[in-house]
This record gives sequence, C-alpha cells and structure tokens, in this order.
Amino acid sequence: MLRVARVLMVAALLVLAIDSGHAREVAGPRGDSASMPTPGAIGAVRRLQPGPSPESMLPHAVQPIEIRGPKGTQISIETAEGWSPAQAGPLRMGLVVGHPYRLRITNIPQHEGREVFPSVRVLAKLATPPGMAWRFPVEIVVDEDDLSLALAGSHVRRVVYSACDPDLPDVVPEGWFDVRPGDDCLDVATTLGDPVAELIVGNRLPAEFAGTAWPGSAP
Amino acid sequence: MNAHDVRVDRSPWRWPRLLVIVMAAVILASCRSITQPLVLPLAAVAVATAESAEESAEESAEESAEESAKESAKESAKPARKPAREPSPSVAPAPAVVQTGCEAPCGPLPRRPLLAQGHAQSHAQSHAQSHAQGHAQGHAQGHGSCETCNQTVCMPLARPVPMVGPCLVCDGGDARAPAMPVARFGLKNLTSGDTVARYRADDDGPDSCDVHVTASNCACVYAPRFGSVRQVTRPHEEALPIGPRGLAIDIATEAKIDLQPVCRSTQALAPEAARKALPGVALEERLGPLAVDQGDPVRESGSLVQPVEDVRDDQLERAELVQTPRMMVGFDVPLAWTCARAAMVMVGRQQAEVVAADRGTATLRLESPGRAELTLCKRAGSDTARVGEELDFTIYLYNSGDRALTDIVLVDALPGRLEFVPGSAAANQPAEFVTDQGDDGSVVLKWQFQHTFKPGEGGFVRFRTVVR
Repeated sequence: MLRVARVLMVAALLVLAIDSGHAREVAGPRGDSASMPTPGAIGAVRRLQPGPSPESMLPHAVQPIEIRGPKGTQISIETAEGWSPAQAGPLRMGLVVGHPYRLRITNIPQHEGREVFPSVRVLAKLATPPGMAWRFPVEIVVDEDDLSLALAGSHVRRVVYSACDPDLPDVVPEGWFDVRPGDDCLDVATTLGDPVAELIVGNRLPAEFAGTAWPGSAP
Repeated sequence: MNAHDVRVDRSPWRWPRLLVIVMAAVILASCRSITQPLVLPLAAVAVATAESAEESAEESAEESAEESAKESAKESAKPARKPAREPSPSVAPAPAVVQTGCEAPCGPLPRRPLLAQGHAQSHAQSHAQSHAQGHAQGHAQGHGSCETCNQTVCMPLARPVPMVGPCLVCDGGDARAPAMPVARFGLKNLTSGDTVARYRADDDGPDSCDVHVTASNCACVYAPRFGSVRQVTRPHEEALPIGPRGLAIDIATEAKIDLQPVCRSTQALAPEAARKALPGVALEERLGPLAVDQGDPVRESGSLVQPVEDVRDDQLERAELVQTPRMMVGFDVPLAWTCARAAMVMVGRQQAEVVAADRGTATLRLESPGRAELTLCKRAGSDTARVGEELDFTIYLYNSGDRALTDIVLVDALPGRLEFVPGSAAANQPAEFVTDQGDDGSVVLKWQFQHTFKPGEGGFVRFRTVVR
C-alpha cells in the first residue's frame, strides 16, 4: 500500500509540474497570442505529403524545372523514398542547385519495354519575379533522338542555357544543335548564354553506386 | 526465502503499473496541446521514470534485510535501469534540445530532404576530384551542425547559389543612335526597341517648321528563353583502332615533304612585286600632304546634307544650348526656414509656377510659354510572358505643351524577341498604319496620325506581339 501511495504521489507531482509549466507558458508576458505556435509550425514537423508546393515553401537553393519527353513517354525521378510514380510529361519538380538527380524514362515510342536512366543537374538558379518561380521553370527537353541514341549505346549530353539577350535570335529554329566533334557543349553553351542545367542520357540500367554516372559528382 | 519469493512474484507487475500511471499522467497533462508541450514532458518523464525506478529499486532493496534479498533486488533492478539509462548519455536532456538547436541553422526544406545525405557521402568518396571537393566541403559545412538532427527534416545550410538573369525583353526609348527626322514623315536611325515620335507645332509661329522627336519610356517584360546544345559520344569512338594482329594501324604514315624556298637566289620579279608578294615586309603607305582623312567621314555626307551644312547646324545647336533658357526647371525650396508662402524664382523674365507646396517644401516648375511638347508613355499588358505567349502593348500620346501638334508619326521598332501579330494594330485617333523595316532589319510599326492634337489632348495605339 505504501508503494502504491508513493507511486501515486510521484504521478501527482508530475501532473502538477507539467500543468504548472504549461500554465506558465500560456500566461506569458505577451498574453495568449504569444504562446500560440507560429503559423505553419505544426505542419512543419509533420510528415511531408505529396502535392503542389507553393513558392513560399521553396527554399532558396531549389530551382523548379520542367522536363519534357517525347509524346507517350513516362518520366519519374528517384528520391530518397524510391522512384516517384511515372507520369507523362511535362514533369515539374524542384531540384537543389548543384545536385545531380536520376530520372527514369519508360514507354519510349518505338522502343516499348526499354527504359533509360538520365541524370539531370541544375547549374544555376533563375532570378524570377516574386511568385513566379513555378511559372518559369527551367525547361529541359529530351528529344526522341536522344533516347534512340542512348538505347543504341551512345552517350548524350545536353546543356541547357538561358539566352537573355533580347536582340540575339535563336541559333537554330529548333532551339538546339549538336556541337562539333571535340567541342565541349558546356563551353559552347557558355558562349551563347548562361548554362542553367545539364542532362546526361546513356544509362540503360539504374546505377547502384554513387558517382559512376556523373564525372566528379554523385548521381 | 519467503521475502525473495514475494519480490520475484511482484516485480513483473510493478513496472507496467508504474508506466501506465505515468502515461496516464502525461496524457492528462498534454491534452491541451499535443505538439509543443508534449516534447519536454516526454523527456522529463523519461528522466523521471529512470530516477524513480532507481529510487524504488534501492528502497525496496533496503527494505529486504537479508543479503540474498539485496542481491536479487539489484539484479531485478538492472533490467529496469537499462532502458532508462541507455538513452541518457545522448538523449537525457538532449532529444528536444538537440533538435531545437539544429532547427535554427537548418532552413525548412519540405520537399527533398534525404538526398542530401547520400550526396554528401558520395561526394566524400569522390573527394579526389577538385570539382567534388567543393561540393563535399559545402556538404560538410551544411551537415556539420545537423549530424544529430532528424534527417527527414534537416537540410543543408544555404550556400551561395549562382543566379542567372533576370531575362527581360525591353521595348521603348531610344537607346542606340538617336532617331532623326528625315523628309516629311520619315525617321532614321531606328533600331530594335526604339519607340519614338516626330511632330511639329501647328501654328504660324517662327519655329512651326521645326520637327521635334521624342522617345517613350522603356517597358520591360520578364520572359526567359532556353536553348540547348548537345554532345553525342558514340561507343568506341574514342578507342584506338587495333589491327588484325594486335598492331595499331594509326601509325604515322611515312611521307616525303619537299620544302620549296619562298624566294630563290635568282629573283625574276620586280622589287615592287616582290615586296607585295612577300609577307611581313609590307610598308605602310603614306598619304599625301593634302589627302583627306578617310577614317572620319562626315556624318551627313551619305545622303542629303552636305558637310558644310552639317557644321553650320552644329554651331546653331550649340548656340541654342548656350543662349536659350531651359524649358523646365524643378527644385525644392524649404519654406520652413522662411515666412514666405513660396519663393519667387525668376529665370530671365519668367516667373516660376508653384506646382506643389507641402511639408515646408515647394516644388516649382518653370515652363517656357509656347512650347510644343508631346509625351509618350508605353505600357506592356503583362509583366511576365513565356515563349509563345501573346503580349500586348499600349502607347499613349499626350500633348503636354500649349500648342497644337500636327504631322505626328509614331514608330515602334520591335526587338528581335517580339513578333508582331498582323492585324492587331489599332488606334483611337485616325491614323494610317504601315509596317516597315528599321535600320538594323527590325520590324517597325508606324502610325501616321491625320489628327491634330490640341493642348491637353491625347490618344493611344495598341498592338499585340508573340514572344519568341
């Protein structure tokens, strides 16, 4: 009986201590509003849910991109929780600048049943007007020719650049061209504008080891 | 013996009961809020549970008088201490403290939390390369204060991110060579982005034949554009070709090169011809003493105005700048220092007009009477546009002078990224619209108004373009 009474006393003391601490917090110097959590504090500690991300939740180091593939292709991206559900393009997502990510493109026209695993990396962040980051993502286009070359065993590297000069016309109407053999596409893109993203297509199997697909960095 | 048996029988039910009581207390205490106040009570409960377990175990051990009962009591208390003490070195006051201390340097990044850790490890593996070193250092800094943080919430610290842009398409103004009137309704030196108008006063004044040119403001629209370059490396393209017996076949081909002297001992050409034929010995030709310097042609000598007239015009402009008072002067006079309602400013024989007087400051405006002035204001329909979207522009005209204006010709040389939509040009005053070509090949929209704008009267034109 004495032990039970002692335990009950300890529990009662605990309840009193916790309740008094909570009451002290509520009766702060600023009143009731000061003790209230800041807007979004409760949601910030909860588990993340899939869905659209407003720009207010977009960190500074994240740049929205938009990946387009040939008609009918399915695109997914590898995250820490596995591959995202494959979706038809264009696929919009926010990537951390400087970090390579792995994609998976399936349902390729004329190559049904085969898939490629490109790597994409954002090189710079666009200076967009406030509230316009998702409206103006970096546009990355994966051509059908890129996928055919990759499936044939070639290594395709694309550098997307931002051409800000209003007077410079496009080099070619299609918006892209092949560099000469021996030229580096990043150097060529630097002469035409500001490189903002890099895409490498060539893996036909998902790489298991980090750093094998991208020279000098992790996938 | 009996006491020992009793302790063995009671010990399995004692701790669950204690835990149930403590959990009930925590639930009761935290029923008001289940988020913030719950963290600290849980840590406090964990510590208090361990302490109470130790005390109760020691007290129960003291109560048993026999030595064997003491030993059994210590053994029975050990499994109760372990779960309470194991987290204590790293957790004891820490679980909430470490997380809250780490939340401050870590920016909230809700969407992509976990890839950064893998990148940091892989960057550390590829530490030999210089490019990866920068990333690894950045990640080491980013994760340095977040090692004990919850990895699903913690993100790398903010690093300087390279920025690009903003990519603007601007139209308006008169940026490059100043536009100049030619003929009766023409303008030259029109380059992409220029928006200017020419006009003259419609009266019998002495300067009614003078043609004035004014430019609009510059309207900029954010419109990024992307291109890409591709590099394809085909398999075995870089490999060395191997011969049938394992020998490389790209060995240097033996070739015989006969070097022919450029100039033989016997020179059959004339010295002047040899001088021109041999590189590196060319002489700079000198101009005669009365030769005209061809490097600086007269500006207007190409078409209409002769060089002499051009010199005369320059002198007249300079004299006008020196002798004529400025058309508009605005400056502030602090009224708080004086008792006067406004300072009277005289420029020449003209008195300045008080435009505004507020907070001890008067703004004066000095306008010469009889001025012919047209104001252009250009507005874009949107501040942003994607490639392929339509973008409309409106140019407002306003006769801000005190004389009627006529022969107004408004031109807009579109920049290369704006494509005019045919049939979209409109004006609220009768005007003849044509498209022309600028001096740099740009598309020029031209409105020739057949309307005389009285003082204070205005109008506008509107057209649509496609961003490309």
